[in-house]
Amino acid sequence: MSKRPKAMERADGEAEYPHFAADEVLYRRVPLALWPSKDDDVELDAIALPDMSVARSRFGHPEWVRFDVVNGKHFEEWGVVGFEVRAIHPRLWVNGTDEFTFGPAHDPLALDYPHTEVRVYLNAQHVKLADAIPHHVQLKWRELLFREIRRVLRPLQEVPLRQQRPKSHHPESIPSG
Amino acid sequence: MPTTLIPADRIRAVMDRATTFEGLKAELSALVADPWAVKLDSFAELAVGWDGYKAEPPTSSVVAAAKRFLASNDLSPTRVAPSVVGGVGITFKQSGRKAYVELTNSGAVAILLSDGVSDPHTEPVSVDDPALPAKIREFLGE
Repeated sequence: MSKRPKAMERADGEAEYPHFAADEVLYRRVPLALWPSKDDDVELDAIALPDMSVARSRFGHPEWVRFDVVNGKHFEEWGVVGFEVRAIHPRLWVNGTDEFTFGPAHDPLALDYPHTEVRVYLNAQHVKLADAIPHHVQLKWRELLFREIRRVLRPLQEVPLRQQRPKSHHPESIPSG
Repeated sequence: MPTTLIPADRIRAVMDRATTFEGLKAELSALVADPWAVKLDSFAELAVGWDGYKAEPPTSSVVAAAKRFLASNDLSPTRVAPSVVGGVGITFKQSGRKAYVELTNSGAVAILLSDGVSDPHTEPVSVDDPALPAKIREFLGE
């Protein structure tokens, strides 16, 4: 298991950075159970509901997402997908009365400063989507996001682990393994 | 003779589980006879957080309902997988069109019909509805 880059950590007193560019990329790891090899593809079953954990390209590289800092694991063979902030379907109306809005929120962890959540709000209040919206309506939101997903790192793809944070929110080229 | 190729990862999973040669033979026979049922049974090995985040594994009742649905018709899924929302997703694809049936641990079941471009159609369904396979077949143009 490779060592987690120090640059992933939140520095003392480092504040949240709440601003997201529309073309900033949000990364998410996909287990081999859903994306077993480079010849396979991801499907809708890999798209979670908000609150959905992701990592933002402004502060981290896609290979960093293979580290699960909460449980101290490194899924170095797993694939990583990404989508731009503007791909998040911003709004859903349910029953013509309830307006649900969606967006990213920077949620840095002590060992994972890039950590971000895609959250859902009902009338500006943060809610859990699974409790608030019928399943078939959630499914539509997930499909609209799924259509915008990019395959960033394929399963089993070996890439050198970059040690420094990115220079901007624009994803840098993946170094060859 | 089976008409569907069995992916290597599923054969590998069976080989990893087997502790005796006889056990391996039995599992491989079952895999050839009903590969999706064997895959659904393998979901019992998933633990909470199997997706690297917080996903719940599919419950035994969801797995049973998925098996019942697959056994009730002659549709050929392209994929049967655990869903990160907690449940099972069954995907059918044909000519750029996709039908996706998702059964969740909470008991909700819904279908998504998508051509990848226009607004997707979703609705709640029952896997025991005899009209469901025809709806999928019609959308896929089979």
